[in-house]
Parts: sequence; structure tokens; C-alpha cells
Amino acid sequence: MGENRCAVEMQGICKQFGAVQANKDINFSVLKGEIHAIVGENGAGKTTLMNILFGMLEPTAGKIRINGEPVKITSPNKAIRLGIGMVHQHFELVPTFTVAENVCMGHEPQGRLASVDKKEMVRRTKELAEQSGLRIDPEAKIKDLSVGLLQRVEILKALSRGAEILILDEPTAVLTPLECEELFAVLRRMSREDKTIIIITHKLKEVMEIADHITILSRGETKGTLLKKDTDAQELARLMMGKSAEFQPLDRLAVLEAEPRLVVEHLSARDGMGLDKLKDVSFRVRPGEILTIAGVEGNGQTELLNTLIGLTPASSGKILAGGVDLTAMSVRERRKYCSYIPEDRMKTGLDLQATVHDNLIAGRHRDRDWKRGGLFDYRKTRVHAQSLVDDYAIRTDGIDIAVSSLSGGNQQKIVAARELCFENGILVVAQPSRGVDVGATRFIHEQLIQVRNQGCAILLISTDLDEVLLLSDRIQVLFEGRLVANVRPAEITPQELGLYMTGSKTMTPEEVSA
Amino acid sequence: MDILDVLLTPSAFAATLRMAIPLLLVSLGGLLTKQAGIENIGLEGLMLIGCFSGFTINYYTSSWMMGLIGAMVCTILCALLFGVFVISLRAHEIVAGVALNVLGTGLTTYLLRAIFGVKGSFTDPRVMSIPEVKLEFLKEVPWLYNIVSGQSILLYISIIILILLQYMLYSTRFGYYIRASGENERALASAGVSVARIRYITLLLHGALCGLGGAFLSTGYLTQYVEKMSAGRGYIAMAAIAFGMAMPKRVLGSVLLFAFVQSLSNRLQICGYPSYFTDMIPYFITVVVLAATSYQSEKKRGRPA
Amino acid sequence: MNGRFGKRLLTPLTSVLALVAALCVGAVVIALNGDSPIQAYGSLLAGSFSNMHYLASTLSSATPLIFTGLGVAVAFKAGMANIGAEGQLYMGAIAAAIVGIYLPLPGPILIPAALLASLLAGGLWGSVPAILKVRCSTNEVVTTLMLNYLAQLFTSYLVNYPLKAEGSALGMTVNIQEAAKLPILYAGSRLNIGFLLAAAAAVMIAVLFKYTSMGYEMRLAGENPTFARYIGVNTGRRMVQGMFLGGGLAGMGGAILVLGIQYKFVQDISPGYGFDGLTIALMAMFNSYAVLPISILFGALRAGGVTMELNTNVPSELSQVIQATIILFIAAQASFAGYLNDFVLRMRRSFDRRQKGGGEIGHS
Repeated sequence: MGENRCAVEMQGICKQFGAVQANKDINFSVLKGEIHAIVGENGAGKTTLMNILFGMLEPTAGKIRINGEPVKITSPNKAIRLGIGMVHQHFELVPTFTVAENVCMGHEPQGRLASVDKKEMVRRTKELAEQSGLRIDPEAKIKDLSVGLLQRVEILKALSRGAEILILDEPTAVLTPLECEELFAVLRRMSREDKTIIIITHKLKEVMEIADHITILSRGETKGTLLKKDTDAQELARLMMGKSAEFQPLDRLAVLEAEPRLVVEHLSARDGMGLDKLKDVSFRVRPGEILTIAGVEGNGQTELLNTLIGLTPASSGKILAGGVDLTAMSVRERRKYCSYIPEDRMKTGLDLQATVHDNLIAGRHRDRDWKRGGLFDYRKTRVHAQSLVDDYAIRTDGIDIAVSSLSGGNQQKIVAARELCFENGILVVAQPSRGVDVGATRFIHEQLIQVRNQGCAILLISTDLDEVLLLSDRIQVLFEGRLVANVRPAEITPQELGLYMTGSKTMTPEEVSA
Repeated sequence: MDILDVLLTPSAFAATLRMAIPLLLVSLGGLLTKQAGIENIGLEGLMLIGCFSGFTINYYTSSWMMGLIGAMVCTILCALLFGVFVISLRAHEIVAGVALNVLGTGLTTYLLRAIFGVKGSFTDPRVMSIPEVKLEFLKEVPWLYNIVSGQSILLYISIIILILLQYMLYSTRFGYYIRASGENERALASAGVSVARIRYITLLLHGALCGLGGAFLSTGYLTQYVEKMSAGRGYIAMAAIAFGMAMPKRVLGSVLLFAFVQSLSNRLQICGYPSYFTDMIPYFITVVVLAATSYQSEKKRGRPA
Repeated sequence: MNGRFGKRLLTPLTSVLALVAALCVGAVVIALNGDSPIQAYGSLLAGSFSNMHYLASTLSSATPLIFTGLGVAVAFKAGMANIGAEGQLYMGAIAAAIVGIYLPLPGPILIPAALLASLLAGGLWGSVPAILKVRCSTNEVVTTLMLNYLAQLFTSYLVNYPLKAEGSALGMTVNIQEAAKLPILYAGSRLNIGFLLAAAAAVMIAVLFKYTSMGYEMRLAGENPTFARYIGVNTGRRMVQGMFLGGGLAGMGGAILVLGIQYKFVQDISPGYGFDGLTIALMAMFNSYAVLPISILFGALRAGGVTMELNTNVPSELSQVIQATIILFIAAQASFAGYLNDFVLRMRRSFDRRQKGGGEIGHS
């Protein structure tokens, strides 16, 4: 820690994906033996930057030095040889192999008769585990391990290949609080042994707990590197969120004084693995109101949306739309009462191989009005599709071409157009501006406000703070499957909201349900 | 009663072993690629190519050894061709496997006519049969002698191959890589190992084993080439692999079971009973077992409604 | 993805290229045999299209292929990789034979009844792997493949034992009733109204997918099941229906063999029509109209192959070699299209760079 040598220096890094500039002229350096955190919102360019350092992506421009030596990192293999190890968000392990077999993969010790020396492998893994404090049974099978232990295996895998610089991408996203503490203890110990650690995260509380230096990224640019002791969570949140709401405020009518139209009571749900991801969530949305469920990704938003759509059953609780109980209804029946714009529009919201027309009529394709003698009346459906294309200014070479040939923004508009035209009074929309350029975002926002002003009850699920503050009439924050805050946008600063979203601050259940 | 007397004789078991040889060799080849993450449904075609090339090269060289080597060379080339399409050109493996089957039946029948000028079947004294091993010292134990003695040398070779493969898959570095490339190729790639290279080498072994199994049919089991003589054995091998969950020892078990069923069929036929239902057993078992295992793993994973 | 050099244009182009490449491979095989490829191909072409008689025999061999091709295409469109058309054809054929032989119905009802029986038999046989896939997520590729052999063996048992014609050496049934024979379209050939039925089936399948909610939902379930579920489609049911229909069509292909060509069920009745159907469906990119000309092409390979064999030294199995090569190239189509695309892009980029004169410097 004493010496001031740089382990990693990245200068003028640029990375372009098609039209999107993920990294803009980023300068970034990490001292040897420190724990350096990179913070930023989703899509700020953190993972891109680290993938460049690990040789998984090639930068469009820029220079990298490792321990003062200029290097060109063309592949993960090269990075490994330079002493860089990366622990990805999604683990890359072989499920039926033992811990030791995974840790030593690629450099197995050789025994007699071309065999792999299993004892030596176990011994090495054990030794490494003891040295680093990552306690684990080397002979356990990967498929029997918990997520926290899997992460240990990944870290050991990197260490066993001689990593001196360790990159961890959102390491705590999947861990329980206890596991987090254990991980941090290990990281501190490694840093004392002069290993350099770079950790990508957006949980500010953790950053303040563990990092020595903090680099903030926002929209692909660095907002500076700070020493932990010179800053606090508020300052970080401000830098991370950037300036909000550049556009003029949108005209909005007052929320109607009517009975809530969408009511969710004590809703709980599990994910595919059977883990509780949504815990006792209750809220109500009135006509002409936008209620936003804000929160950092992975805190139960997906489960909330899927339960509302009807793709996954609720483990308990109720969903009521205009007094009608939807909880036991099929997806199709629910569509009469509620429209949905899903978060992953390319995968869930569209059939990319199908035409614009076919995507626009989806969900309504059984309408009697559109049939003649049981067959599609293409004159009517085409008029409908064409009018949506015109109304929403979808740029396409006609309605008979595959959606895959449209630009991302126009693909999104197709989903919005289809769902908004149902006019059934309730709209659930998740991350409406994700993956969309500024202009299209603005357009979608205007549409949402317009629908709201017409009296639609809108439930917005968003991780984008700017969007949350711009659109909401009310904001509730989802953290680890529970609602932890209930506020009005005028009463809260982005910084404070950031504190709720990162779990640094919570309201009591009474305040939330108020 | 008299049926059982015919079915459960030493000669029935000897026939089982004879039938097991080609099945075992091809299944071992198939299980390797399956472990490496490639499903080749073209086993039948590869086997047929092995049958024909082994027979033809044996005919021209009058050497069973050259026949076996030649068969392996031909099937290795075909397997590598399959690899080029599936690994390098990212062709759909099922479709490429179908192509291999069509190529196998088409090319062998075509060449049978082009080279030997006959249709149906062909035999010639120039073709040397793969030698059989007589175990005179077992004469004391007649029932064992009747089963084991006089079996093809390939029986012993295939047992050795089985042991070597078992050792390779579970004890050597290359075996680790084969299994890892089938289970999670990204894990292997992130460890700096080329998945494509591992798969090409696996396909090479796969081709060699299918060639050996095919050549045994035309120069060991019979000394005659018959059009489409693999007669669905490639698919039975697939069934054996699926039933044995691609593990060498279990696959050996299912091969023995299926070979026994086949010999049963032959016996029944000889006695004038319908053999079709016994012929169906391997396919039927496989469908049932596949459905049961996938249902169970699905239940474990907990599927959403 | 935007501006990706016409996927619409490239795929038919690569289909044609695959055909050309396959013919070239065939030519090499012929030449190696010491024959003239031009002569062989000429004879093949003449033997399939040169007069009405040849044309009729081409179309009659194409008829079952249209049915199996459509059957595979429908199943694939609904998201099921159906390798089992061969087995579905056998089940359909035996059902048609049983009705055609034993059901004492008057003429005008007998043929529809036999066809319906084949549709049901093939369809039910095809539904088994679909139900297993939906209920237990069992891989349909292996199960459809295994069911082929079960069907073949089961029908062989039937025609060798309970249904066997007395006095015949081979396993076969007696001839079907006169009233069950499909009317011949061209005297002196076996070209029958089955061909018209096949063409009608192609139109009906096209209508199903374009004009009905059911077809629309099947398509969505096949193309993007996640989206389909979110839209409210019961994807499992649609997949099973797709396989039922696909199996039924393949089964009707079998009925054509029995009612229109053989007039009885002979053991191992299909020389691989089911697998040909797979090739045809792939080449047609699952478009039911495209299935028609491609099936006729394959029918020509079969019918013309026989003539070629008579007139030249080249065995008719050459057509299978050509087919295998087509399948391989079609399977790698996406890669070839990708390479072609990259090549065009690279040419364009290097052209742009030359225009700009140097361009920007990449990272060091």
C-alpha cells in the first residue's frame, strides 16, 4: 500500500458499439495493492471498460499500461498472462466438476500415465483457499454449491492462474449480507498482500465500506476519481446520477380523485429457482396517475412484472384491476384489463422474425372485428397497423418487413404502439427508455404522459433516476424484494432517492403503505 | 419352456457378444462427441461408410488389418467434414447429421455399383475375415468356452478401447476438456483452452471408432458387403448412448442389453416367431427413459407455469 | 442489424448456390466413375421432364414428397424439430391400407375415409414427441428419430402377421378395394389426384399460417415462445397442434403411396421420403409454396435417376449424394450468408477508406 506505483493505467479509452459510444475518452488508473471501486448507473460503461481491460473487447482507441509497461490486451488469455483475473457476474464453471477441477482448469498438474494428479489438484486448491481466506471444500461438486461459494470458486480460479490484478463485476449482486461481509474480509486481506482489486458496483454503501479510491462513470465518461475519505455517499450519488431532467417539464393534469384502478395486495413471488424474490408488496394506482417502482436492477422487478402479466404465479397476495381479481386469470384473460410493456422488448415484447404488421396486431389477433369468415380481414388489420405506424412515427419501409430490420428505437415504438392502443385503462411499463436514444426516449415519455392525462393508471418500473423523477406522480422504491420508500418526486432529491435504492436508507412499513 | 431352452443357451450369449462388438464401438464413438457437446445423428451413415470402405480396401489389399485402417481413415475424413460444417461453419448439427446419413446410404450404394458392378450384396474370397481368438485352455469349462472362444479379436480390442476411454475421460487432461466443452464451453474457453480444437480431436476419435464398428460388420461379423447392412445399428447406438447417459460403463450395459435383445430377435425369427417387438425394445426403452429423466430434471429445476 | 445486407435476398441465393455446388460435387463423382457428367445430367433431365410420360412419373414421385415436406415445414414453423416424418408416413400408410382394404364403404366415401385415417394416425404418432416435449421437455429430435423405427417395425409386424396377404413371400397386405384407388390423372402412369391434393394442401397450409389466428399463434410460438406466452398464446397447445398437423400431412403422404401407387402396404414402403421431406422443408425455408417446386425437383432426381441409370453407367444413387451435399450446404447457409455479407461490407469499407484517403487511426 505504501508505494505509489500504478498497477493499471488506461488512457483515452474509447469504445464504440455501432452508433452507441459506450466509453468516451476514459482515463483511469489503479494503484498497486489498493481496492478501487468503479461506480455508475446501468449502462454507464463500467462493464465495457473492464471487458476491455480483460481483453474481451478491443477498444476503438486508447492505451493501456500494466505495471508501467505499455501492453495490448487482445484476448483473455493475454490478460491472464499479464496477471489479470476477472470474476464475471455470470459464473463460468463446469457444474459436474469438483471445485478443485474447476480451479485448476487449463493448468492441471500432471501425474503418472498422462493422468491428472487429483491429489495434487486438491492440495493446491486447499493451499490457495487457506492463503486467500476463501474457505471451501475442494472436493465438493459445483452443482451442489450456493451462489456465494460459486463466487469463491471463481475468485480462486483467477488466483490460481497467478492473478495480481483482480476485477470483480458486481460481486455482491448475488450475495446475502453475511456472504458480502465475508467477501469483503477476503478482499481486504488480498489487498494487504499487495494484490490489486477493481470492483464494479452501484451499491454506494458497499463502496464506502470497502474502497480506497472510487472512480465514477456516467454515460460513458469519467466523472473523476475520489479518495474515499474525502467523499461521502451523497456526493457520489450526485456525481453518479448526473444532472436530471434536461427537458422541459411535461404538461400534466391533476391525478383524478377516483378509486384506485390497479390494486396489488401483499403480493409475493418466487423466481425459477424457488427463491423468494418479491416479498409482501402492496400498492395502488389511481386513474391518471403514474406510480413508479424505482430500484436497482435485480431487486425483484422482473418477478413483479412477470407476476402481473401472469407468466409466473403469485405465491401469495392479490392483483385487482378495477375491482376484478386477476390473480387466477390466464395471460390472455388479463389482457382485457391490463396492457404491458415488458423490460426486455427484443425478447419478450417482439417477434423479431415476424413483420411489423404481425407484431402490431399481436394480442388482438382474435378480435372478431378483424375477421371475415374466420379469416383475417387484412384490409382492416392493415389499416390498423398502418395507422399505428403513422401515429407513432415508426420509421419503417412498410408494414410487411421483418421487425429485425428496424432500428432499436423503432422496434421499441412498435411495442409501445401496440400496448397503448388497447385503451383498457391500466398500463404496466418496465424500463421504457432502456436501449433507446434521447429522441425516442422523449417521444415515449410524452406518450406515457398523454395516456396518463387521458385517465390511464400507469405502473412504471424503472431503474433510471432521471426517468423516475420526470414521469412519476408517486415513487416507491423496491429493495431486495420489498418496498422501502414511498415518496413524491417533489419531496425528494435524486441523492436521497439513490440512498433508498442502494439500501442505505429505508422507511418503516407504515410509512411505505401510507 | 422349449423357447427358453433355445434362447438362453451359450450360443445365444456368444451371439450377444458378437452383436455387441459393432454396437459398442459405434456407441463409444458417439458418447465421446456427446460428452463434447456435439449430437451426431449421422452415426448410421458413418458406420455404413466404414462397412463399405473396410470391405473394399480389404478386397484390394487382402488384409483385414489394412481394411480396418482404411475404414478408419475414411470415416475420420467424413467425421472431420461433419466437424468443418458443424464447428467451423456453425451448421445445425442435426441437419448435418441427416446429411451424413443420406451421404452414407447414397455413396455406398453408388460405389458398390461403380466399383463392383453389382446391386444388393457382394462377396469375394479375396476378402480376409478379421481373425477369431480360440481359447483352448477354457475347454475344461464347456459353457464358458462356448460363449467366449471363437470371438473376434475386435471383441478384445473394443474392451481395451472401452477401458482406455473410461480412463481418458475421467483421469486425463484431455478427457476433462472433452467433458468441460460439453457442459460449459465458456468455462473451458475462459481457462484458455480452444474448444474447437478439443471438438475436432474428439470427432477424429469418433470417426475412427465408427469406422472400426462398420468394418467389423462387413469383414468380421460377415465377410460380405450388403447394401445398407448397418440396418439401424447407428440408431440403436444412439439409443444406447441416451439410455446409458453417455457414460462408458453404463453404455456398455445398455449395449449388452440391446445386443441380447437383438440376438433374441434373431432366435425368435429362426424359430418362426415374430421378432418385431423385440426389435422395438431399444427404441421404446430410449423414448421412455428420455421422457422420464427429462421430466425429473425439469421437476427439480422447478418450472414456471 | 440494421442495413444487414438483405437477409431476404441472401437466403434464396444460397439455396440456389447449394444446388449448384451439389451438382458440381455430383459431376466430380460421375467423372471419377469415368462417365461424362454432361451426358449423365442430360439423361437425368430428359428422363424427368422430356415428355408427358416422364413428367407424369416425376410428378407422381413428387407427390408423397410434397406431403412429407409440408409436414416437416409445419412442425418446424410451430417450433418442433420434426425428424420423424418417416415414421409418421408409415403410420399414415398402414392406416390408409387398413381402411382401404377392410372398410365396406361405397367409393366416394372410402377414399376420404382412408385419407382421414392416415391423417389421424400420422398426426397422433407425431403428437407423442410434442406432448413429451411440452410436458417433460424431452428433446424431440431423439424421440422423433426413435419413433421412426418403432413405426417401421410395428407396421412390418402387421403386414407380416395379422394383415399378411396369403401366399406372398414378402411382408405385404392384399390389394386395396378397387374403390379405394385414387383416380389416375394421366393414363399409363401412376400420377393420381393425390398430386392435386398435395398442391391443395400446400395452399391450405399457406392460408392457415397467413389468415387464421391458430396459424398466427403457431408461428409466434415457433419463432419466439417467450413473446408468444407474453401475448397470451398457449404455446404448448400450439406446438402439439403443429406436430399433429405435420404428422398428419406426412401420414397422408403414406396414404398416397398405398392408395395411389402401390395399391397395398408393402413392408418398408418408403425409400426415405420422410428424410427427403426434411431436406425439402429446409431448402424451402418452411415456406409451403416453395415446397412444391423443390419436391418436384427431388421427384425428378428420383424418376430421372432411373432413366439415367438405364442410359448411362451412372447409378441412380447419385441423386442421394447430390441431396446430401445440398443438405450440408443448406445447413451452413447462415455462415455462408454471413461470410458473403462480411465480404461485401469489407469491400464497401475499404472502398470508403480509399475515398476518404487514409481514414482515422485505430488504437495503437
